[in-house]
Amino acid sequence: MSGNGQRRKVFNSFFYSFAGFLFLYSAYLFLSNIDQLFVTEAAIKTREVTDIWGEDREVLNQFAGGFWKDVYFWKSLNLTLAITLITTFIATILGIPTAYALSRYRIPGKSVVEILFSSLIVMPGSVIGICLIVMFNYGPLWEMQNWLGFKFAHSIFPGMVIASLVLSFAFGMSAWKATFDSVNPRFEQVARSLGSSRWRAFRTTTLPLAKSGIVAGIILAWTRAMAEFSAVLFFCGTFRELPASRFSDFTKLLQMDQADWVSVAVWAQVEFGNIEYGFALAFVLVFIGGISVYVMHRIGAKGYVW
Amino acid sequence: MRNVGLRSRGGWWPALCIGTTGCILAVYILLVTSNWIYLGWHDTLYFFSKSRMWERFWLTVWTATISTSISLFIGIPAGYALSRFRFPCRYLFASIIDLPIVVSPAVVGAFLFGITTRFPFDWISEFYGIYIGRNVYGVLLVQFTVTAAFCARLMKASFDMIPVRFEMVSNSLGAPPFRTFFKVVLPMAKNGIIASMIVVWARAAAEWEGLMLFVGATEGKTDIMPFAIYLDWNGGMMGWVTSMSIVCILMAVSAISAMKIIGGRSNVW
Amino acid sequence: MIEIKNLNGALGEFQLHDVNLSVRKGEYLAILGPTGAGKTVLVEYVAGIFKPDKGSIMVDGEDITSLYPEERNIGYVPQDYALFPNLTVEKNIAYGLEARRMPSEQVNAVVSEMISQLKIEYIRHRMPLNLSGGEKQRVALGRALATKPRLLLLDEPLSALDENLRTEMARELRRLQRDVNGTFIHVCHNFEEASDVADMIAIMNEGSIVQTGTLKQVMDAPKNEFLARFVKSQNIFSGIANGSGLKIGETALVKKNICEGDVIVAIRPESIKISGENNQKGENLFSGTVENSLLKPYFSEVVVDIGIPLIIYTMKGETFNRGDKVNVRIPPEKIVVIEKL
Repeated sequence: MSGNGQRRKVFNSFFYSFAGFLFLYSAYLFLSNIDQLFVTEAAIKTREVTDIWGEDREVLNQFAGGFWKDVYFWKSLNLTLAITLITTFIATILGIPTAYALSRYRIPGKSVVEILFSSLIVMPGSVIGICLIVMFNYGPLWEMQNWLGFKFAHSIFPGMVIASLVLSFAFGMSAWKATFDSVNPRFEQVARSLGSSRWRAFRTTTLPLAKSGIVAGIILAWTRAMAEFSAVLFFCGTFRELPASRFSDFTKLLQMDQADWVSVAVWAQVEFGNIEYGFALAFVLVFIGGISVYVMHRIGAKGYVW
Repeated sequence: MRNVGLRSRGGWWPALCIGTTGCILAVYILLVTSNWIYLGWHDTLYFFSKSRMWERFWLTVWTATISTSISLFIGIPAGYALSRFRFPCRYLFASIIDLPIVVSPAVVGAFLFGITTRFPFDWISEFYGIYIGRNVYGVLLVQFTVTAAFCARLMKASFDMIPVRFEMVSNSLGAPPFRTFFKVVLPMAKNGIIASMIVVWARAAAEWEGLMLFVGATEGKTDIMPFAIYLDWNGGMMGWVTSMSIVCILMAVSAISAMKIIGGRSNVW
Repeated sequence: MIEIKNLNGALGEFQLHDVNLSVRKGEYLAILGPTGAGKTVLVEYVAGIFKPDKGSIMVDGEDITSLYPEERNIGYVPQDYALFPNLTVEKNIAYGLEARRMPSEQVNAVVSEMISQLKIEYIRHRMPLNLSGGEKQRVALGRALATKPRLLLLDEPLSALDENLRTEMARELRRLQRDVNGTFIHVCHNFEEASDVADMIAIMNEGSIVQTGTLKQVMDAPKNEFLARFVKSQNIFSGIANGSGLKIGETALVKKNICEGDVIVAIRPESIKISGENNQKGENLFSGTVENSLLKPYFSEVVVDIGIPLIIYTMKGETFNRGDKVNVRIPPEKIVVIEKL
């Protein structure tokens, strides 16, 4: 029997090693970059020469670009969190009825719908960004925007909301659909035979049973909205370098002026040389993402693939 | 008592659900076809006939294929381990593995940019003379990073769907664990694995934010399709941009359709 | 009270072809049939969960075919009971009453009455997850009956229960139906269960109803070979009739006023008289050897060879052993002759 035990040990360690490799690779990727947060001589010298946004070089030369002292950091975070919350809210309001319809009702061309949403999840972000731009700036929607006196692209509301909504909705909806698929339709049938209307049957039988799945879907939708980069970059661009006059008073009131979406800010800062600051923002995103993933795993979200 | 409150014809709930679905669908379909509407049939054909388009397409295809193969090699065993083995703190473990696919790919690109100048990469550069950075190898690395964990997740889902009982029966019949894996588990998971492979490939072909931050653009060498769209858009070449978007959309849709046909119901979507 | 005319439809692999059925008020109807016969489909159409392709369902003269389930006031107890897992027993039973916006004192009164009638007071505040099969069934019944529906549909209510529990629950169902004076339609797949509860029986096969009648009618006069097997006639043979008698192989039986040609013969095991003595008088007397004798819980099953193998049920005190010589009498009126089509 020891021969078998040996073989099983070898088998187990063989497979463990692959999983372990991924674990180590991921951990290494994130942890080893911590030293990017520390300022080097070369970086200070570079900053002496260039001056992009007139930022305070003293602050930037501190650890992690002194990001917590920078007002624009907090504005970016504020902006991103507010927008993603709005996006998640809209995705939930629209997504749950849609998921329910796709799960329970016979809709013609259901497989087309499934292919459509699944394709969006694997499509390049730049393509989605371009699609948004073409859709809003060149089609019949252009006329509508002229009529409203208001351009959707390059705006905070509703531009950023729409950009992050595209994929957030798709992810959330597939999660909610899976949840409703897993609840036995019998309960609603019996509830209706007892005299409940369809809404009451849904509310009192399916909804309580789907609770954890719906929460998981909401977290998923929010996480995806936070991770959105390309669509926001293409559709809205950067706001950091724009003069203060470009922003409405309302936006200034909300402390959202002259701030970028956080993922876009990471790119912008790293691109223009503030490596420590950029990485600090990146770590903030990693931290938020990590907590989301962990919570999702703990809830026991089954089969939700990112 | 019999008919009190029973006359509730249809109700508003189904109408709301189906109405919302219809509107959303219309919006999304408009989104996806807007490129083609803008460009028109004639112009699309014009751009399709340019070799520049196909060079990029071919670059995208072969880099995605190679990185998918590497991801599969690592992802299948890793997925099996995640599926079958119970070990302490496995939630933490799984969360860390998932991290590269949860955060924005731009962030991943930034981080890769950080690690390629040190161990083990500088060691590889010295010894093997292969520099991984602003070239095709960089592209492969980025694609691998975002797809390996994704692949492991999908494989885990495929293996989760095969009951453990089959392996137990195989063991009780005397088959050693490796034989069980290759002769029992893998054939049963075949459909799921192929379907997942297609999705992973599509994801690799769609990766570009990491490239933007890490690899930079070298015409013909590293500008795979999605990246090329960004570059051309910066250059204002709307025609190229929209036609390449159409190609990408078609690639994604055909990959998903192939997955649906092969995988059938045995997949996570 | 219920008239089902020409019901046609298909749900997945299960189909209905031209189903016609009527049920009187206060009747307990059992719908029997093998798996795949379409019994559940029929019940789901009557409950309103799915819409049939063709045909009509009339209840008390009202055409309900196009009404939604919430408008039909027909109780439905599915096979797995489908008790709402997030509600207590009490709340489950109260569900239909609350859907009708009854004032809460009235709801409590009706629920309490239902609970005491079904003797489930001790589980009043429990969640369905922890209940036994019998308890779940009672709660499901209470829930459906609380709203005083004009018809109750039960889809295989006893299949999930243990053997010993089944007969007891069957009697309970019968008693309940009498107490509430309701009309019950009970779907099952075995004959014994139907005999425990039903006034009338309808047997389905492959999507249509093949025979209806009282228990006695169906047992004594099955209309075709399938039905003869289903009602456990046990002695089923092919034979040739010639107007006043028939031949099964070499054995000749006497029976007046029958058709001519190929027939199926069915003889119920309990209608054949068996005796060790040679003192029987009448037609169709045979002597034969006992091939096998089984002592079952309520009777003895004796297999006798008189040229054709006969299965006989006897309650007599006489025990028969293998190899005994016995005399058998088959009363002509008990022989069922079915024309082979």
